[in-house]
Amino acid sequence: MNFTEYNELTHRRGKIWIWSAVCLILFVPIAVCVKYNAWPGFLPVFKGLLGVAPIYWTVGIIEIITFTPMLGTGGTYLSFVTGNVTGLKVPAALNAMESAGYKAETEEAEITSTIAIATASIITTIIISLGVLLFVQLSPLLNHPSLKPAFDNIMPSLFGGLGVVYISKNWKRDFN
Amino acid sequence: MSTSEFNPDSPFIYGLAFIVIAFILAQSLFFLIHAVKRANAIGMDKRIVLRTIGSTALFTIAPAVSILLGVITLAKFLGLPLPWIRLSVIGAITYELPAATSTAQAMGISLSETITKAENYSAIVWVMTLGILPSVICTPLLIKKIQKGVLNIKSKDSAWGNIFMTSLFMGMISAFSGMVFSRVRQGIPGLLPVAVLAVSALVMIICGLLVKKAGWKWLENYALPFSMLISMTFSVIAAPLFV
Repeated sequence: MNFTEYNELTHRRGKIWIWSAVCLILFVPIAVCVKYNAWPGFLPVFKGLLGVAPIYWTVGIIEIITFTPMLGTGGTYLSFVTGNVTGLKVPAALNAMESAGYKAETEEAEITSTIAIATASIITTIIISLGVLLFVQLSPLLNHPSLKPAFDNIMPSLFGGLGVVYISKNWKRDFN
Repeated sequence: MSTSEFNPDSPFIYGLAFIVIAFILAQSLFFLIHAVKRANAIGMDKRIVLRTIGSTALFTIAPAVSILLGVITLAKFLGLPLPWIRLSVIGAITYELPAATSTAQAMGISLSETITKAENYSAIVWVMTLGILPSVICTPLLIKKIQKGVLNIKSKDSAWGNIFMTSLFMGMISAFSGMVFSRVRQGIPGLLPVAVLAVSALVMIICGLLVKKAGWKWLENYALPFSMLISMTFSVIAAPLFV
């Protein structure tokens, strides 16, 4: 099997997973409405959507266009189901490819990106699940005021380091 | 069941959460195995595969705890299982909180107390779901067209292709820089994110020097987690000075 065939196989499998995810995502509100016999009606949902949909639908499509070339085929199908794309999946993939020395769009980069994103998804799911199980014990610690600055500044701490990696990588070509 | 009996922490909603979490873990494991098998088939260095898993796992801890904080924040209003579901599938706190707030405002309810009406709860679940659904639906519809477009650019001029990829990344960095520098005009308190960014960059430069000049190759994979953890620790220590 060559890279093109592998890529096609990933597309086929990715599509099965992502359309299954669409069904599962829609199953949650339908199950809540059926179980509690509580259909909200069109107007409250429309009014709620009016506040968020115009921006998030646009951002969602821009994210797909921007990040697909960086994430590769497997990484894209996985990232857009598991979420936290900008703050976690993209940096995880870029960092893994950069550390391994692979250029985006090569087969090695495709594999490395998928491994990184799958690992990030599994670890995140485990940590959130543990947090939910230990909610009572962990809540005061995580909400402690002294730790607030650390979590408020997670984005600057991520993009400071990642920015250096990318600027140094392109320094020769851009500035010499 | 009457709406007065509604409990957002009911076993039924926990059951839904378990199904969703099991699906996410299954999909992630499937793609991990799919990629590792391919890595073996093309003879990729096993050490690189293991290092990728190890360093990504370490790097993920801090952002994952931050996502957990988002779950805890939303749990005060929505109970635990729904934020658990939403932040494990597609969601991010930057979307889920505005979606819940927007719907709550539309229905004239407060975000400070746990939700008690099933109709209000189901409206919020629908808004959270429909608001984020286009990202998932458009991915399989657009992915091949986007990849073909990038390939066309690269095949015409490889240097232009690299510049295109880097500019995509720099665009993302610029968008986040806006967030970092947005509070600068508030004076000293607004400078903390800038200082954290600088510390993270500095730690990354030191790690880079240690890798290149001192030959600490092992550090290469852990440079980003170290930059993040040290700069986040710095923010905790330095926060009292930025008031």
